[in-house]
Amino acid sequence: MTARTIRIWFLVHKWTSLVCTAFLLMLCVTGLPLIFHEEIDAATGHVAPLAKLAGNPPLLDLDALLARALANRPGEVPLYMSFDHDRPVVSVSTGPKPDAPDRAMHFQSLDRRTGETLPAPPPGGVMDVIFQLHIDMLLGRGGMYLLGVMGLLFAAAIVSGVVLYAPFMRKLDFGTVRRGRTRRIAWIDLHNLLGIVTLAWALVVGLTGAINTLAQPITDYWRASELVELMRPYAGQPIATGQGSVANAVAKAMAAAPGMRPQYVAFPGVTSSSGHHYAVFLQGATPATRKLLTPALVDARTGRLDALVAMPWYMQALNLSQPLHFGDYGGMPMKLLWSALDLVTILVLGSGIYLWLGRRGGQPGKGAV
Amino acid sequence: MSRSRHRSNMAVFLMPGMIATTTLVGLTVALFGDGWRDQLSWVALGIPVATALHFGLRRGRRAT
Repeated sequence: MTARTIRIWFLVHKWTSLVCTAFLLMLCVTGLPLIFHEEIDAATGHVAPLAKLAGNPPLLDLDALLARALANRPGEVPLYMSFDHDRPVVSVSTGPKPDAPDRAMHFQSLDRRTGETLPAPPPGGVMDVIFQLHIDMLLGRGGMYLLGVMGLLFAAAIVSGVVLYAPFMRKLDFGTVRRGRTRRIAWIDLHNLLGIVTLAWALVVGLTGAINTLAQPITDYWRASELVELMRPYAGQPIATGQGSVANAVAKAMAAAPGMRPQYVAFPGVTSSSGHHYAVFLQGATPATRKLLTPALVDARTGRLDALVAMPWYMQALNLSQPLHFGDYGGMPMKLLWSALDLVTILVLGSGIYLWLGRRGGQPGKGAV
Repeated sequence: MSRSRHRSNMAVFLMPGMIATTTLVGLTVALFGDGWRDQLSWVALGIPVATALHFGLRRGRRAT
């Protein structure tokens, strides 16, 4: 590489890093407790314990459970029904209308054996604030997209950092940290070392985070492009809110896809369904196929299974981006490793700021190349 | 490897490339099941962490 090429890559690294570092520090700090949100929620009473029942009582009919949930929320329509992975709990989201925004939705969980409504988690709480900061900085959709752009800049900073790694390391063994000279040189070496070992993890978590910010528009696009053909026969009909049976829809979907189980049902009219169908999202048994959802569309009025829709690649990518960003698919050891890598990334970001502050007009990496 | 030699890109990126590949294997394998796949992913994702700790915390040899 010529000195000029190095200089250009250095400028790319400097400016992409400068723009995204403050946001990335916030994301790394808020992300750390979120890695353990399941454990924290359980410890702080956000996951209601289930009553212990003798024997193995049969599960109640889904339509009966839905009726109970709706009785708790007079005047609202059902939006989503989701199924816990590991316990007999069904959760129902309701809202004033089928296209209600997230903030207008109400969420309740019911014990499928007894039909009892589980106590609602205490509202607010510091984890909720941390979560909102992490996904949109409390700024709504605009804040979310801004963080997505920061994720892309972070990826560009990583790539340019990898390119610059070569000229820095020409005369050094891998892992060298020159502690005997100036503090600045030691931090350059540490920045390079920690950055290069976390490279793959940071790229994956950064890019999947950016993809996750696009969940809504990607889903909208899928709905508009893939479902439009299926919807043609229904043109002109009013939205089938409140019609048909969710129990029937789930039964039809499970019969059509043996070995899969429902993760959630989107009711007619909500974002991830059509105006005329129950969309039953089926999942497989492994962490990957658990995320690769296959929607079964059941006509709300006739109760007939219209289609099992194979998800296009971009929806599969969106689905896989979630576990790869959260690190929640390999048990507690994976969570601990995730937090270690998160802490190392904080060190890379912090040392980057330190090195920039200390530069003051010098040549890139002066004294190190 | 002598300390003064001018290293090729191949030599510079050998270790980083192996660590990155290991990380990607660790990230992927646990997606496709539990049990041994999870355990393999712990080992694989442990490698970048262990490398960072090993070289980052190593007592300073004076200068190079």
